[in-house]
Amino acid sequence: MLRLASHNRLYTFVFVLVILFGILLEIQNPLRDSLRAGTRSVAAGAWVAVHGMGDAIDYYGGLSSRATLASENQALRTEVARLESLSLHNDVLRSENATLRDMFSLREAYPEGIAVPVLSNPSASPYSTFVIGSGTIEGIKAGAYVVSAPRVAIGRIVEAGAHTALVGLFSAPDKETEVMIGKVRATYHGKGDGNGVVVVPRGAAVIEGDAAVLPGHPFAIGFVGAIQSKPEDAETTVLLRVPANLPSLSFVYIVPE
Amino acid sequence: MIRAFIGGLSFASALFAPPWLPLIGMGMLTVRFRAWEVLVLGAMIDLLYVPPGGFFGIPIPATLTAFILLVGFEPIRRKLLV
Repeated sequence: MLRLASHNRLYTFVFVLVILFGILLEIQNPLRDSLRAGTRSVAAGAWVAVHGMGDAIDYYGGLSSRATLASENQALRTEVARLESLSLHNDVLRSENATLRDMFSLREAYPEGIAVPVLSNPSASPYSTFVIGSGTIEGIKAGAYVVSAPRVAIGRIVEAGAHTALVGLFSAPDKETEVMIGKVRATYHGKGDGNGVVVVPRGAAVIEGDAAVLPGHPFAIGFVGAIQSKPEDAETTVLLRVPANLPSLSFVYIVPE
Repeated sequence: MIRAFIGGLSFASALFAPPWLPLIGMGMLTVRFRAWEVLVLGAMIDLLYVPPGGFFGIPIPATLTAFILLVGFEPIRRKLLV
Protein backbone atom coordinates (compact mmCIF):
# COMPACT_ATOMS: atom_id res chain seq x y z
CA MET A 1 0.00 0.00 0.00
CA LEU A 2 2.85 2.32 0.97
CA ARG A 3 4.60 1.44 -2.32
CA LEU A 4 1.43 2.24 -4.31
CA ALA A 5 1.15 5.64 -2.63
CA SER A 6 4.79 6.45 -3.40
CA HIS A 7 4.21 5.45 -7.07
CA ASN A 8 1.19 7.71 -7.25
CA ARG A 9 3.22 10.56 -5.82
CA LEU A 10 5.95 9.87 -8.37
CA TYR A 11 3.47 9.85 -11.26
CA THR A 12 1.93 13.10 -10.02
CA PHE A 13 5.38 14.67 -9.89
CA VAL A 14 6.18 13.43 -13.42
CA PHE A 15 2.80 14.69 -14.66
CA VAL A 16 3.64 18.16 -13.31
CA LEU A 17 6.99 17.96 -15.13
CA VAL A 18 5.21 16.95 -18.38
CA ILE A 19 2.80 19.89 -18.05
CA LEU A 20 5.71 22.26 -17.40
CA PHE A 21 7.43 20.84 -20.49
CA GLY A 22 4.23 21.49 -22.48
CA ILE A 23 4.10 25.09 -21.26
CA LEU A 24 7.80 25.49 -22.09
CA LEU A 25 7.17 24.33 -25.68
CA GLU A 26 3.97 26.39 -26.05
CA ILE A 27 5.49 29.75 -25.14
CA GLN A 28 8.15 31.40 -27.30
CA ASN A 29 11.32 31.55 -25.19
CA PRO A 30 15.07 31.16 -25.66
CA LEU A 31 15.22 27.88 -23.69
CA ARG A 32 12.66 26.27 -26.02
CA ASP A 33 14.52 27.51 -29.08
CA SER A 34 17.86 26.19 -27.84
CA LEU A 35 16.32 22.85 -26.79
CA ARG A 36 14.75 22.42 -30.23
CA ALA A 37 17.92 23.55 -32.03
CA GLY A 38 20.07 21.22 -29.92
CA THR A 39 17.81 18.20 -30.51
CA ARG A 40 17.63 18.91 -34.24
CA SER A 41 21.39 19.32 -34.63
CA VAL A 42 22.00 15.98 -32.86
CA ALA A 43 19.34 14.34 -35.04
CA ALA A 44 20.77 16.05 -38.14
CA GLY A 45 24.10 14.32 -37.45
CA ALA A 46 22.31 10.95 -37.34
CA TRP A 47 20.29 11.70 -40.49
CA VAL A 48 23.37 12.75 -42.45
CA ALA A 49 25.37 9.72 -41.23
CA VAL A 50 22.59 7.27 -42.13
CA HIS A 51 22.06 8.86 -45.56
CA GLY A 52 25.79 8.37 -46.22
CA MET A 53 25.71 4.79 -44.89
CA GLY A 54 22.64 3.98 -47.02
CA ASP A 55 24.39 5.26 -50.13
CA ALA A 56 27.48 3.16 -49.32
CA ILE A 57 25.38 0.00 -48.74
CA ASP A 58 23.53 0.60 -52.01
CA TYR A 59 26.83 1.14 -53.79
CA TYR A 60 28.36 -2.08 -52.50
CA GLY A 61 25.24 -4.13 -53.21
CA GLY A 62 23.83 -4.51 -49.70
CA LEU A 63 24.84 -6.80 -46.85
CA SER A 64 25.58 -10.23 -48.33
CA SER A 65 27.67 -13.26 -47.46
CA ARG A 66 31.27 -13.42 -48.67
CA ALA A 67 30.64 -16.30 -51.13
CA THR A 68 27.62 -14.57 -52.59
CA LEU A 69 29.59 -11.36 -52.88
CA ALA A 70 32.47 -13.13 -54.65
CA SER A 71 30.22 -14.72 -57.26
CA GLU A 72 28.25 -11.53 -57.67
CA ASN A 73 31.50 -9.64 -57.99
CA GLN A 74 32.64 -11.87 -60.86
CA ALA A 75 29.31 -11.54 -62.64
CA LEU A 76 29.26 -7.83 -62.09
CA ARG A 77 32.78 -7.38 -63.45
CA THR A 78 31.68 -8.86 -66.74
CA GLU A 79 28.46 -6.94 -66.71
CA VAL A 80 30.09 -3.65 -65.80
CA ALA A 81 32.69 -3.97 -68.55
CA ARG A 82 29.94 -4.31 -71.12
CA LEU A 83 27.52 -1.74 -69.84
CA GLU A 84 29.72 0.77 -68.07
CA SER A 85 30.10 3.17 -70.96
CA LEU A 86 26.47 2.81 -72.04
CA SER A 87 23.74 2.07 -69.59
CA LEU A 88 25.31 3.05 -66.29
CA HIS A 89 26.70 6.37 -67.44
CA ASN A 90 23.54 7.01 -69.32
CA ASP A 91 21.38 6.41 -66.24
CA VAL A 92 23.59 8.51 -64.01
CA LEU A 93 23.69 11.35 -66.50
CA ARG A 94 19.97 11.18 -67.11
CA SER A 95 19.19 11.29 -63.40
CA GLU A 96 21.69 14.10 -62.81
CA ASN A 97 20.30 15.95 -65.77
CA ALA A 98 16.73 15.67 -64.50
CA THR A 99 17.68 16.96 -61.03
CA LEU A 100 19.70 19.83 -62.45
CA ARG A 101 16.98 20.73 -64.94
CA ASP A 102 14.40 20.84 -62.15
CA MET A 103 16.63 22.96 -59.95
CA PHE A 104 17.57 25.21 -62.85
CA SER A 105 13.98 25.78 -63.85
CA LEU A 106 13.15 26.63 -60.24
CA ARG A 107 16.14 28.94 -60.09
CA GLU A 108 14.97 30.68 -63.26
CA ALA A 109 11.43 31.02 -61.99
CA TYR A 110 12.36 32.14 -58.46
CA PRO A 111 15.88 33.63 -58.51
CA GLU A 112 15.52 34.78 -54.90
CA GLY A 113 15.07 31.21 -53.64
CA ILE A 114 17.59 28.56 -52.59
CA ALA A 115 17.78 24.77 -52.92
CA VAL A 116 18.19 22.97 -49.60
CA PRO A 117 18.61 19.32 -48.59
CA VAL A 118 15.83 17.42 -46.83
CA LEU A 119 17.19 15.88 -43.61
CA SER A 120 14.34 13.95 -42.08
CA ASN A 121 11.97 11.70 -43.96
CA PRO A 122 8.57 13.45 -44.17
CA SER A 123 6.88 10.12 -43.41
CA ALA A 124 8.77 9.80 -40.09
CA SER A 125 6.94 12.71 -38.50
CA PRO A 126 3.55 12.08 -36.90
CA TYR A 127 2.66 15.75 -37.49
CA SER A 128 3.27 16.05 -41.27
CA THR A 129 6.43 18.06 -40.80
CA PHE A 130 10.04 17.51 -41.84
CA VAL A 131 13.43 19.06 -41.16
CA ILE A 132 15.60 20.70 -43.81
CA GLY A 133 19.33 21.31 -43.59
CA SER A 134 19.37 25.12 -43.82
CA GLY A 135 18.32 27.80 -41.39
CA THR A 136 18.35 31.51 -40.68
CA ILE A 137 22.09 31.76 -41.34
CA GLU A 138 21.48 30.52 -44.91
CA GLY A 139 18.62 33.03 -45.29
CA ILE A 140 15.65 30.77 -44.44
CA LYS A 141 12.78 32.56 -42.72
CA ALA A 142 9.51 31.33 -41.24
CA GLY A 143 6.65 31.68 -43.72
CA ALA A 144 8.71 30.93 -46.85
CA TYR A 145 7.16 28.55 -49.37
CA VAL A 146 8.65 25.08 -49.82
CA VAL A 147 8.57 24.12 -53.49
CA SER A 148 9.18 20.59 -54.79
CA ALA A 149 8.67 21.23 -58.51
CA PRO A 150 7.97 24.31 -60.64
CA ARG A 151 4.68 25.83 -59.44
CA VAL A 152 4.09 23.12 -56.84
CA ALA A 153 4.37 24.13 -53.17
CA ILE A 154 4.16 21.36 -50.57
CA GLY A 155 4.33 23.47 -47.43
CA ARG A 156 5.79 26.43 -45.60
CA ILE A 157 8.62 26.99 -43.17
CA VAL A 158 7.02 27.01 -39.73
CA GLU A 159 10.16 27.39 -37.65
CA ALA A 160 13.73 28.32 -38.54
CA GLY A 161 16.79 27.56 -36.43
CA ALA A 162 20.40 28.54 -37.18
CA HIS A 163 21.20 25.65 -39.55
CA THR A 164 17.95 23.67 -39.66
CA ALA A 165 14.31 24.55 -40.23
CA LEU A 166 10.97 22.82 -39.77
CA VAL A 167 8.61 22.55 -42.74
CA GLY A 168 4.87 22.18 -42.16
CA LEU A 169 3.10 20.44 -45.04
CA PHE A 170 -0.15 21.89 -46.37
CA SER A 171 -1.53 18.35 -46.12
CA ALA A 172 -1.05 18.19 -42.30
CA PRO A 173 -4.21 16.78 -40.69
CA ASP A 174 -4.79 19.86 -38.52
CA LYS A 175 -4.23 22.39 -41.31
CA GLU A 176 -6.73 24.38 -43.36
CA THR A 177 -5.68 26.50 -46.36
CA GLU A 178 -7.67 28.75 -48.68
CA VAL A 179 -7.34 27.62 -52.32
CA MET A 180 -8.76 28.37 -55.74
CA ILE A 181 -9.73 25.48 -58.01
CA GLY A 182 -10.44 27.15 -61.34
CA LYS A 183 -12.84 29.94 -60.32
CA VAL A 184 -14.07 28.19 -57.19
CA ARG A 185 -12.73 29.40 -53.87
CA ALA A 186 -12.69 26.75 -51.14
CA THR A 187 -10.97 25.58 -47.98
CA TYR A 188 -8.41 22.79 -48.31
CA HIS A 189 -8.44 20.41 -45.34
CA GLY A 190 -5.23 18.41 -44.95
CA LYS A 191 -5.62 14.68 -44.38
CA GLY A 192 -1.96 13.68 -43.98
CA ASP A 193 0.44 11.82 -46.30
CA GLY A 194 0.09 14.43 -49.06
CA ASN A 195 -3.68 14.10 -49.26
CA GLY A 196 -6.36 16.71 -48.77
CA VAL A 197 -10.06 17.33 -49.23
CA VAL A 198 -12.03 20.30 -50.51
CA VAL A 199 -15.81 20.60 -50.33
CA VAL A 200 -17.32 22.65 -53.16
CA PRO A 201 -20.93 23.43 -54.08
CA ARG A 202 -22.60 20.78 -56.21
CA GLY A 203 -22.24 21.57 -59.90
CA ALA A 204 -19.06 23.63 -59.42
CA ALA A 205 -16.79 23.50 -62.46
CA VAL A 206 -14.15 21.15 -61.06
CA ILE A 207 -12.70 18.26 -63.01
CA GLU A 208 -10.02 15.65 -62.34
CA GLY A 209 -6.54 17.04 -62.86
CA ASP A 210 -7.46 20.63 -61.91
CA ALA A 211 -4.92 22.40 -59.72
CA ALA A 212 -5.73 23.81 -56.27
CA VAL A 213 -3.82 27.09 -56.28
CA LEU A 214 -3.00 29.42 -53.39
CA PRO A 215 -4.94 32.67 -54.02
CA GLY A 216 -2.60 35.44 -55.14
CA HIS A 217 0.29 33.04 -55.68
CA PRO A 218 1.47 30.95 -58.62
CA PHE A 219 1.76 27.79 -56.49
CA ALA A 220 -0.47 24.75 -56.69
CA ILE A 221 -0.67 22.78 -53.44
CA GLY A 222 -2.53 19.80 -54.89
CA PHE A 223 -4.25 18.37 -57.91
CA VAL A 224 -7.75 16.92 -58.10
CA GLY A 225 -7.47 13.14 -57.98
CA ALA A 226 -11.13 12.19 -57.55
CA ILE A 227 -14.53 13.80 -57.19
CA GLN A 228 -17.16 12.23 -54.93
CA SER A 229 -20.74 13.30 -55.32
CA LYS A 230 -24.05 11.73 -54.38
CA PRO A 231 -27.31 12.83 -56.06
CA GLU A 232 -28.89 13.69 -52.68
CA ASP A 233 -25.96 15.88 -51.52
CA ALA A 234 -25.81 19.65 -51.99
CA GLU A 235 -22.02 19.58 -51.97
CA THR A 236 -19.29 17.73 -53.79
CA THR A 237 -16.19 16.32 -52.07
CA VAL A 238 -13.02 16.82 -54.06
CA LEU A 239 -10.01 14.67 -53.13
CA LEU A 240 -6.64 16.27 -53.82
CA ARG A 241 -3.16 14.82 -53.93
CA VAL A 242 0.27 16.44 -53.86
CA PRO A 243 2.04 15.65 -57.16
CA ALA A 244 5.26 14.76 -55.34
CA ASN A 245 6.54 11.58 -53.76
CA LEU A 246 7.12 13.02 -50.29
CA PRO A 247 9.19 10.17 -48.76
CA SER A 248 11.66 10.29 -51.67
CA LEU A 249 12.34 14.04 -51.55
CA SER A 250 16.04 14.76 -51.23
CA PHE A 251 16.05 18.47 -52.13
CA VAL A 252 13.43 21.19 -51.96
CA TYR A 253 13.49 24.78 -53.13
CA ILE A 254 12.68 27.56 -50.66
CA VAL A 255 10.98 30.67 -52.02
CA PRO A 256 10.73 33.65 -49.64
CA GLU A 257 7.24 34.86 -48.77
CA MET B 1 18.84 -6.27 -22.52
CA ILE B 2 15.42 -6.52 -24.20
CA ARG B 3 14.54 -3.14 -22.76
CA ALA B 4 17.70 -1.55 -24.16
CA PHE B 5 17.12 -3.18 -27.56
CA ILE B 6 13.48 -2.06 -27.86
CA GLY B 7 14.42 1.36 -26.49
CA GLY B 8 17.24 1.79 -29.01
CA LEU B 9 15.02 0.63 -31.83
CA SER B 10 12.29 3.04 -30.78
CA PHE B 11 14.67 6.00 -30.65
CA ALA B 12 16.10 5.10 -34.07
CA SER B 13 12.65 4.62 -35.57
CA ALA B 14 11.60 8.05 -34.28
CA LEU B 15 14.23 9.47 -36.64
CA PHE B 16 13.93 7.16 -39.63
CA ALA B 17 10.70 5.15 -39.60
CA PRO B 18 6.96 5.84 -39.80
CA PRO B 19 5.46 7.16 -36.54
CA TRP B 20 3.58 3.95 -35.68
CA LEU B 21 6.88 2.16 -35.07
CA PRO B 22 8.07 4.27 -32.10
CA LEU B 23 4.48 4.11 -30.81
CA ILE B 24 4.60 0.30 -30.83
CA GLY B 25 8.01 0.49 -29.15
CA MET B 26 6.57 2.75 -26.44
CA GLY B 27 3.67 0.34 -25.94
CA MET B 28 5.94 -2.71 -25.67
CA LEU B 29 8.25 -0.98 -23.22
CA THR B 30 5.52 0.35 -20.98
CA VAL B 31 3.58 -2.94 -20.86
CA ARG B 32 6.58 -4.80 -19.48
CA PHE B 33 8.68 -2.16 -17.72
CA ARG B 34 8.21 1.06 -15.83
CA ALA B 35 10.09 2.63 -18.74
CA TRP B 36 10.70 6.30 -17.98
CA GLU B 37 12.73 6.52 -21.19
CA VAL B 38 9.50 6.61 -23.22
CA LEU B 39 8.94 10.12 -21.82
CA VAL B 40 12.33 11.14 -23.20
CA LEU B 41 11.41 9.51 -26.53
CA GLY B 42 8.10 11.40 -26.62
CA ALA B 43 9.84 14.66 -25.73
CA MET B 44 12.40 14.04 -28.49
CA ILE B 45 9.64 13.47 -31.09
CA ASP B 46 7.91 16.66 -29.97
CA LEU B 47 11.09 18.73 -29.97
CA LEU B 48 11.97 17.47 -33.45
CA TYR B 49 8.69 17.53 -35.29
CA VAL B 50 5.84 19.35 -33.57
CA PRO B 51 5.09 22.66 -35.30
CA PRO B 52 4.78 25.89 -33.28
CA GLY B 53 1.23 26.07 -31.96
CA GLY B 54 1.13 22.30 -31.50
CA PHE B 55 -0.75 19.55 -33.25
CA PHE B 56 -4.50 20.23 -33.05
CA GLY B 57 -3.48 22.78 -30.41
CA ILE B 58 -1.65 20.24 -28.22
CA PRO B 59 1.99 21.32 -27.73
CA ILE B 60 3.37 17.93 -26.66
CA PRO B 61 1.22 15.11 -28.13
CA ALA B 62 3.94 12.45 -28.13
CA THR B 63 5.07 13.22 -24.55
CA LEU B 64 1.48 13.07 -23.33
CA THR B 65 0.93 9.78 -25.20
CA ALA B 66 4.05 8.38 -23.54
CA PHE B 67 2.84 9.50 -20.11
CA ILE B 68 -0.63 8.03 -20.68
CA LEU B 69 0.92 4.71 -21.75
CA LEU B 70 3.22 4.73 -18.74
CA VAL B 71 0.40 5.36 -16.25
CA GLY B 72 -2.28 3.42 -18.16
CA PHE B 73 -0.29 0.19 -18.25
CA GLU B 74 0.65 0.37 -14.56
CA PRO B 75 -2.07 -2.11 -13.42
CA ILE B 76 -1.15 -4.64 -16.15
CA ARG B 77 2.52 -4.14 -15.43
CA ARG B 78 2.00 -4.73 -11.71
CA LYS B 79 0.36 -8.06 -12.53
CA LEU B 80 3.14 -9.03 -14.94
CA LEU B 81 5.87 -8.01 -12.50
CA VAL B 82 4.47 -10.08 -9.59
